[in-house]
Amino acid sequence: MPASHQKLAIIGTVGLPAKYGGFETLANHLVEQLDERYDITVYCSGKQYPAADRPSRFRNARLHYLPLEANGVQSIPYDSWSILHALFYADVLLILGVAGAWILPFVRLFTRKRIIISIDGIEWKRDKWSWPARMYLYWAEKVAVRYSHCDISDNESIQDYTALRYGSLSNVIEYGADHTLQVAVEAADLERYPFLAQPYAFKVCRIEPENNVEMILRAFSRRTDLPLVMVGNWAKSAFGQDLKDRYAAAPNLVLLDPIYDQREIDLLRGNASLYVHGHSAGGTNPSLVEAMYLALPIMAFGVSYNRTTTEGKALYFATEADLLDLLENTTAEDRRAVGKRMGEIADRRYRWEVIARKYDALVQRACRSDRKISVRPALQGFGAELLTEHGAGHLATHHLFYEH
Amino acid sequence: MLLRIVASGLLACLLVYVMVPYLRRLATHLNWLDVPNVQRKVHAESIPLVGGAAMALAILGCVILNAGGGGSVTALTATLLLGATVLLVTGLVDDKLDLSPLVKLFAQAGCAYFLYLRGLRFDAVFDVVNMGGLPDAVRQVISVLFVVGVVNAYNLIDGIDGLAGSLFAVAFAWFGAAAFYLGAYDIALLSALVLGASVAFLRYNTSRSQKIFMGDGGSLFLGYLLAGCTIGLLERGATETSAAVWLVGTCAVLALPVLDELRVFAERMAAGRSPLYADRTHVHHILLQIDSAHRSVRNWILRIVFLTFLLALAASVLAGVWGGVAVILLCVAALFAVLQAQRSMHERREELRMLELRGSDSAAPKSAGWQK
Repeated sequence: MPASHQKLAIIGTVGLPAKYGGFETLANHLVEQLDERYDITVYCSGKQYPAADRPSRFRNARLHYLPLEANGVQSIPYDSWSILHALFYADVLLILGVAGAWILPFVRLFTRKRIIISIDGIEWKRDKWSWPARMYLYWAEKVAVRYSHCDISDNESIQDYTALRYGSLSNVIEYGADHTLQVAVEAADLERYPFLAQPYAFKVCRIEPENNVEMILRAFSRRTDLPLVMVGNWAKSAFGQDLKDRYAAAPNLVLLDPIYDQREIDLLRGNASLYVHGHSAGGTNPSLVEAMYLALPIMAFGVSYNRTTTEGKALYFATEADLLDLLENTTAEDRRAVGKRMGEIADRRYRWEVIARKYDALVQRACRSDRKISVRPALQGFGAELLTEHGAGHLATHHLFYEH
Repeated sequence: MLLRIVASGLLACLLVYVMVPYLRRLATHLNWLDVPNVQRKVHAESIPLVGGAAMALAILGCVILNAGGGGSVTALTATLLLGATVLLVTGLVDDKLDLSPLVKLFAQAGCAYFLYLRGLRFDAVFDVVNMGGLPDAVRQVISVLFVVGVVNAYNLIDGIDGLAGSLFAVAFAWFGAAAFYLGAYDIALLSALVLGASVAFLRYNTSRSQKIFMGDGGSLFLGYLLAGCTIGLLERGATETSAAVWLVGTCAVLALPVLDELRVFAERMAAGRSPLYADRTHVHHILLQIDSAHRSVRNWILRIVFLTFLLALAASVLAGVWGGVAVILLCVAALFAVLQAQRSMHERREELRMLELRGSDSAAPKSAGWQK
């Protein structure tokens, strides 16, 4: 089927134009890059786009609104409804997130629609979800991988995990960051944010324990030379409010509420002299690749996701002492070198053109093949004895990529 | 009679309540304590193991007081208490010396066979489930296996604060009510005594400052009384028109500990291990992965038992014995399926944790080490 006639449904985002979130930004850029090649429909949450503010199209993509929230427990009916609706016309369903995966076995049984699903970070592991939600997500991820034609991991470490759990080869596609802009500081900006006049470290994240917010605040509160500017949703949880109460008065810390204006966030991020990334979950974090694209020196929590995102070339910490050690013992020149390396990686890997090309290739592959790629070489199916008999015993025992 | 039974139950409760502080002090002097074992035990400090002895003393004392009391103490009571006391002593020795599982099993089997010899065996119950034609040898084996199985099940479920005590209290509350309704006053009295003693024990078992355990002695003693009362109650209920209700209700309160024991044994044997191999795969261990508070886990297990009990009773009224049994099996199977999923998730989480740490050593965050 020529790609120009293929109908692609993008399911699982809050909607377009993107206001928040990694999946929404991804959908936004996929539409920008691929709307000439595919007839795209994007499902949007009517709860986030009031009736007066609902365009029917975004560029060449059709927008379809459902009267449900796209996140939380409503994501299950939201995604399921979107999938059912897409069955009436779409050739390929690109599903972002596993909430609606329960329906996929039926879709595979009764239709020939092609299903591509992004399993996101490993959601079932995150403490922010309740136990029933984690159980559901754990099960839904299994169903998603088993009943999709292709599955997407946003990080090589998640690809290792899916190889280990499911024995299938997931497709690694990260996020782009070239929508991030370097903004020059103007006089009005300096008035509003006086810290822009001097070097400062920056961090933006959701205020949750898994982002190691407290460890980072503690480390920076013990220093006076480099202030830390942290943007986050402090007011959303008791955890955030407690942290803000305890650290807001520290002279070296500037704690700001969420900033939704792209110029403003780019202004603060792009002019920082250091980016601190404390995320410990969720695969490739959009905020990290955005900081990399701005060629900021990066100090990241040393979890495997962050190491693979930064190709092991950033500065890593595991504890408050590690972070203090890094802050004390790296010179401005060292950090600049790290920033340069981050910029090179982002330029090579984290541009939307590259990401969209990978999605395009994946859609084409999903249309061609019914079989998932196994991580085990086909030859291993012959058994060790037969392979040894034919002088190929080494093929029966060699290590697979995720075992290294 | 009701007044005598209720008053005796309250007296047992009071006796345990008064005795425990003295026994706690004695236990500390005699080093009669549960010393934490990092692999399986879920407590950090040494706890006196006096609960079993306190409950046994209170129950025996109250039975002696009731000895002349119009049919509330019978040969059945004497038989049960004799066997239970042998197991209490076995358990107390085990608490102190850590007997081999086989020695304990041998003692349990001997006491179970003693019940059979004294005529406390499944007989009329087989007619209720249309299995009246079973040969005597098979009935004998089933009766003995039942007692050993129940005793062990309650011994194994005694893993977190208040769980075994609550399960005993729930079972004996049902037994007491059912036995009184059926006119089996000896079982009703014994049930009231165990219920009263368990309630007082729970007060200490769930306390922070005065915590005690029932120990193997307590769980074997009460488990044996539970198994014996079950047989006695079912045999007396089997001749009633409402036999299905008594049978299903009793099965429902025993189902979770007993089927969990069978599940754990089957899993261990499937993995090529001894069924008595010690690990952390019982229902309460898996629920602790979800919520580390003993109180929550205990409450969840009690809720599950209560729900199973209500659904099974309703089914037995509507669809007879097999309807009730089917509901019990369905409820427990559903719980086990959830537990299995939780275990799988827990194991994956550990695996994932290792994956996430990969590369940490090779890139230690030392200022001199990162520069290449």
